[in-house]
Amino acid sequence: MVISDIGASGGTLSATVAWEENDRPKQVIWFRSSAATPALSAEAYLVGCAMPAMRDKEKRVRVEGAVGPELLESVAEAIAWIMAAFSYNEPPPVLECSRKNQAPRSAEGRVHAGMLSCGVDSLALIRLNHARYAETHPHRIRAGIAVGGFDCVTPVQFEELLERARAIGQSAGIEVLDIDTNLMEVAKWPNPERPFPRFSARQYEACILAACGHALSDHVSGISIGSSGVKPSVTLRRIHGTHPLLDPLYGSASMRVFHEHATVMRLDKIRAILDWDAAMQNLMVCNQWDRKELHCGRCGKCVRAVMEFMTLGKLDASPFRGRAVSAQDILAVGVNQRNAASAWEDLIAPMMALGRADLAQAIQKIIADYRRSQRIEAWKERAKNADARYLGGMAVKANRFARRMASPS
Amino acid sequence: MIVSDISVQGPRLSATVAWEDNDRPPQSIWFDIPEAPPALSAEAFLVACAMPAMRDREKRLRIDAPVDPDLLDSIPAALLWRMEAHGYEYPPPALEAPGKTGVPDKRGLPAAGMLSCGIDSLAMFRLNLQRYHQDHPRRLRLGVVVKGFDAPQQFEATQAAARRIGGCLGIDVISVNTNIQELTKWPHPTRPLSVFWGREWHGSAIASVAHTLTNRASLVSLASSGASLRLIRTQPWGSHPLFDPLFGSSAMPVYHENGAMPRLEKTRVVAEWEEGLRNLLVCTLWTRQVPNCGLCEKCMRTALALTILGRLDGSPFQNVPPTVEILRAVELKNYYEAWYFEELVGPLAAAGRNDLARATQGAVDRYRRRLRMGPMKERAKAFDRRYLGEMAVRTNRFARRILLGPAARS
Repeated sequence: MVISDIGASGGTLSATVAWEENDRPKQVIWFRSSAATPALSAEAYLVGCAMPAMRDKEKRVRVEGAVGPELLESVAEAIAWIMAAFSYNEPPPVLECSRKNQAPRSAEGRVHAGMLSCGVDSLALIRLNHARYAETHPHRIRAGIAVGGFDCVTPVQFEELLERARAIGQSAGIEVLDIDTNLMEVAKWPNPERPFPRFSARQYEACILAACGHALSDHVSGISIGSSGVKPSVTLRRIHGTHPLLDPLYGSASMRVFHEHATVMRLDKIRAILDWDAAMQNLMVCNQWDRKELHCGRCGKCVRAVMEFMTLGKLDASPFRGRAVSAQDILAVGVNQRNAASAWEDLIAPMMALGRADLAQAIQKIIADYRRSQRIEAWKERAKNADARYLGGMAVKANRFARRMASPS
Repeated sequence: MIVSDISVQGPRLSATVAWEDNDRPPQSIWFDIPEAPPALSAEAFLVACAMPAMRDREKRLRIDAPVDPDLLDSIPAALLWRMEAHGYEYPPPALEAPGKTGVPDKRGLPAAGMLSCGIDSLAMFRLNLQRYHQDHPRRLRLGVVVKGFDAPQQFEATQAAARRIGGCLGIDVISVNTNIQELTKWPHPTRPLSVFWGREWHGSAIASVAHTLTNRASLVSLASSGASLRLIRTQPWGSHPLFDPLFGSSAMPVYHENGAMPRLEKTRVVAEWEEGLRNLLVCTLWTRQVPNCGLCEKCMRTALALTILGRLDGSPFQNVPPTVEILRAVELKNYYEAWYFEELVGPLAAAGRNDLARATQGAVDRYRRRLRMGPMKERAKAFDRRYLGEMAVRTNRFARRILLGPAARS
């Protein structure tokens, strides 16, 4: 992969991404902001493109621009961690960039920012950060970054996010920086083993957020990413798209990345924002890309949020006022990843305590189904490995042949 | 655990550590910096005491002085992950400390690196100075030698070697003396200091030393152990590329350098550096009489790597080259040592030293066999306890006493 023509003009930072090992057309990748002029940052592209290049087996990532030497080391290390955790067997792409030979920028005149999606994690991030850091501390969040093109893909969704982020910003006394990007296009090429939704959620999400931070580094000296509020046992065993230990590797000496509140669980985060009116009025939980309204009410996140507010006895004060959850709703959403399973698990005891054994049982069932599917996947993987190792892939070929014979279409 | 009376007097930063949930007398814990007064750092004690307090089931860790708020967020996370990784089954100590409101101005202060003169630290300095230009804040300009972590009789040798390295690289060298290992001198059935230090504690212990230099350095770099990330992920070590930074603060960020670089590569970096090779000190044997004993596992793996690189001559091991006989006597003690040895098998064979390659693989195989035997022995003992009333164990002891005499007891 070669990233060239990095240029910033008129509120837009753009570059051309050319694939070398994949037969794909060149892509123009851009970052736009109306609140702050994007910096001429090669780092944004290194951080944003290295993981997709690794997934798609590019042999190198050449960035035609200078990046901080510490970032070169840490991105290479992040790639090594992801490859070790997700069983990539190819060698990692070689990072080819010239090293910046001037001192990194000082934080003076720039602000520390928090990623602001208006979800529970980002609102709790601001709330808890302000409770912990005094006005004079450099890590106190003084700006919120709202990213378009990521969770909010359509212009209407992004406008809605901005409107709500501004209301939050006004209430918290922080400025709001908007940034829109098509960076995800680099990772959206079909990949049978690691399609974009799974790749993004498990390996890539923090890179997108950090790349946006680098693109705004003329204005921002560091960013904080709110944790996902899952148990430390899960975060330790399972690497996720944003991860408390890996996220800092995407920061440079000029723009550091922090992952805050890794030990604060989701219910505690909701508790932290319950008495913050602006947060309650502007909370955005649902991240269904095709949603027609603010909260679809049917997806896993929405259903879980309703139950979380029920647990805290604040459903009427939440954006889910008047909504109810049935066992059917829970069974319909199911569980498809370990983080979600952990979050669902935390709701079993509270539902029992509320006298909603039906909901608790439904949660237990979807978690059991998820675990069963995981076990089957693991067995399949082991069988495939044994086949590849001892039978030269004969069993897989025989299976394919049998399937083709059974259904010729 | 309560940490109080934090003060600086002359070259000494000290505090009183009182145990609450263990019947132990209060301890005076200190850091000495002979060259200049240390910073008045409550963070040093928070970082030093957190893991011992966790190991010994203290319910809280109270620091009677303000600490950086970064640490109040990151240390609970670090403790929880350590507990998860090492199978602790009780809650971590609650952290009680007021937060500081700002950070000191660190402009103009140098970046520090821990300098033990082993392969890892020498490679870190060498690579760091190649990687970062003169004005970069991560460029190391201060080496820190610690007394109190290693065999005491060897400190003079380490300090002298570090000064020579410092002179060669054009960096200052400072030494810090500490008694923080006293915190874990108390008997522990499953995690005595020898185990706890290596597997769980030494990363944060080294970071605590760095916090005493807040007035002398802007940040600290720790050298990685050079193990594979797959291994580090499944068997976390006391110093860890991802955990170590959690023990840094806004005033003293902690970096773990070259986290993905294997030890053989680092040895290559040092082997190509005459001054580094001459001052190499790898041996950590407490009973050694010479700087590098040449017989222990660590000396052996370094000598093997230098054999592969063709740089045994001119190294501290030129008079004690690795031999099959010595390798047969080496007993590997953990996954890491086994990984380091296994990393060398292929390159030794490629270098035409099949004899050493076979002996190295033999050491790894012996370790694995022992590892497999461990659970089998445990299962047999459990069966004996449950169904035979420990008759088999008693018979075994009796037979050994009869056959071996008094030696059986040892």
